[in-house]
Amino acid sequence: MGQLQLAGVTKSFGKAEVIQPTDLEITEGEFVVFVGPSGCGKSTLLRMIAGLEELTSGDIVIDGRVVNDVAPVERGVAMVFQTYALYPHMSVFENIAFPLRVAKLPRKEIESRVRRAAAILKLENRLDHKPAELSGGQRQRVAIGRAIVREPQVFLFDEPLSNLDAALRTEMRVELSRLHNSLGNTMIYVTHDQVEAMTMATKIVVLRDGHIEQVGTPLELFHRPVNRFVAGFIGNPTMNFLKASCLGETGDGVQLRLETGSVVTMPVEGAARQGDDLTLGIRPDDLVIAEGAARFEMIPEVVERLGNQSVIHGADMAGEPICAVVGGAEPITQGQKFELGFHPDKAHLFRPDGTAFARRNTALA
Amino acid sequence: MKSSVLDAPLRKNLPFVLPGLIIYVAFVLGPIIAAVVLSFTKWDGLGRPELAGFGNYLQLFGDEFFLKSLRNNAVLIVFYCLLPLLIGVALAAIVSRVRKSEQLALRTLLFMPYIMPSAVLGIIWQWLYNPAFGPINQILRGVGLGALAMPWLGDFDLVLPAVGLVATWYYFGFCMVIFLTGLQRIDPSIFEAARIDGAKPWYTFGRITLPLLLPEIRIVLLLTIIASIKSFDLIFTMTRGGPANATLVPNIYMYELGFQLNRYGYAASVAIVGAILIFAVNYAVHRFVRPAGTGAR
Ligand SMILES: Nc1ncnc2c1ncn2[C@@H]1O[C@H](COP(=O)(O)OP(=O)(O)O)[C@@H](O)[C@H]1O
Ligand SMILES: [Mg+2]
Repeated sequence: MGQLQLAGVTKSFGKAEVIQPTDLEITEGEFVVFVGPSGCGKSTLLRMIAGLEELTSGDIVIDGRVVNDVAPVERGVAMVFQTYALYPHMSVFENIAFPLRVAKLPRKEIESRVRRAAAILKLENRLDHKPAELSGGQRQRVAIGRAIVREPQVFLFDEPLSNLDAALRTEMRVELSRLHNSLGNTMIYVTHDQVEAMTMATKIVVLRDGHIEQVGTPLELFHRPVNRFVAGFIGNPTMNFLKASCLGETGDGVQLRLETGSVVTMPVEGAARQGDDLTLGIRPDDLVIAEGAARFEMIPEVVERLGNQSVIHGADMAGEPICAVVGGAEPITQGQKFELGFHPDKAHLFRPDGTAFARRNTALA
Repeated sequence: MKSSVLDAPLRKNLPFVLPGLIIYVAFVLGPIIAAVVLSFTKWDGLGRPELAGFGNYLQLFGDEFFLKSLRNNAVLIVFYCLLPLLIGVALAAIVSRVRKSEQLALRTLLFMPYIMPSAVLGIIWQWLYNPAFGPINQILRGVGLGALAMPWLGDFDLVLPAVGLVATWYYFGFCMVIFLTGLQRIDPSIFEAARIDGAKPWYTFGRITLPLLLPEIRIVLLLTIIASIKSFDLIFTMTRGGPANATLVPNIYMYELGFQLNRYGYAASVAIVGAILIFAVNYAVHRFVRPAGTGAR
């Protein structure tokens, strides 16, 4: 129960194809996160699964049944909205009970299910309140409660945390993960925030302009992004991209010259010809001070001191923007150039069209 | 920061307020007080008013014409208030689902009656209702329903609904527009949430849409009830209260008493009772139609 397949699903609004042909397999109990920049079609995809938008073509299969023309309520899905979508004139109890009243459950059953959900969500002493009397986090919990009582096969969340402040967001993230662990249901979660995706997902689906860029576990996406877009989207701070021209292939991989003049040999598979304009990607955390096979100098412009580490924004000698994360005790000051380096097996290499070379390091997830 | 000119002492600001105040006192407050005073007198408009105490009011509640006018007005409230409200809510629920461009056209079309002077509409409808050559009866005869071609404004039983329906037609577009704005205020995902939870359209309408539209329902109730108690021009232009007082309402009665029978004191007491009715109904609506979820007492 709680399996879901998308087969060749598309969606057009008028002439605009908002979702390009999409295939996706979701198995029972997964916590799947759709992540991508604003306007990439995440909500549309989720709403198609919910039954709020019709498909233009393709099939959605839930537990072996094609549900294209099945009403939302019969799909066994429950949805939590970004704006909470609580009924402002009803008490918390009535809000949570709403789907059960619609289903005409006996009063006793409604009462006990609502109380159980309220206990899970720590809302027991808020049941008589109106939504307007609750904090943002509590409102979101009521919305989740309304989804829980239906005991759906699949939970759908559309950016449920974006209206909360940062501290509450972190807290709710943990609570949602806990909820997923205890209920064990399939959950599909939409967000534009890659941190939410990385922290909660068992499987991440990265979307861009209505098509799937990559599907994988958080660590797969982190260590083996298939293209520059995914590499740049996943990870915080964002990966550095350095221009590199190919000097040719050696037995150890592809040899490159960076703009700053350093020569690196990247341990990757795949063909590259001399003179190709490639892009080298290196995460800020993988840059180390005066260490590694590839070295270059950096001029810091802004130093953000977080205590345990410092985030340094600046540029290399060729003027390319660089961000580095170094230990909090490092004596880096603004404008004082210093030497950085990295190990080539930590870096990524991208072709001119943005696709990634496969990395040789098999130790990575 | 310099304090506002409004904080200046009264005598300094009085010159600015005075012109408006004088006009208000002369044309609004003065006449109201005069009417109240007048309602306690007998006055034919020429001689000196004679004090009559509560005589006018006592007489009023034994006056069968006045009681009839109140009964007629009660019936008219259905047409001024209830029907436009129901039609307006229903249309708003439907029109809000239509695409934006068509919605604008529908909204404009249905709102149209409201922007015309009701006296003009009364004259137009009098012609539409004309038993011999009015378009309504001509069409009825044309499609073979000649049996239904009635003397709409001449029949004792038909005339009140016939006049009332014009008021319904006049107000429903206005109600619809208010309800449409109300619907726009409501977060659309509320309706989507209800749909995902399996609520059928009627259930959603009754349990969610209507309660959330209570603020608008209240406004519409207030405005249309006031309009019905104040009703004069539509009725005056269509029937003048006839035939045989079948459409007599307090304001028409007041007009007849004052300007045709020269019983100004008595007419004033009719006007005052009408005003009291409006206050009473307003209070009732304020008291009993409460938007849910906001400081319910
Ligand atoms: N009802 C609609 N009509 C027309 N275009 C729409 C509609 N809903 C969404 N879109 C378009 O589809 C694209 C994807 O929207 P959406 O799925 O909401 O993106 P997001 O990833 O931010 O959730 C956007 O370009 C948006 O403008
Ligand atoms: Mg969205």
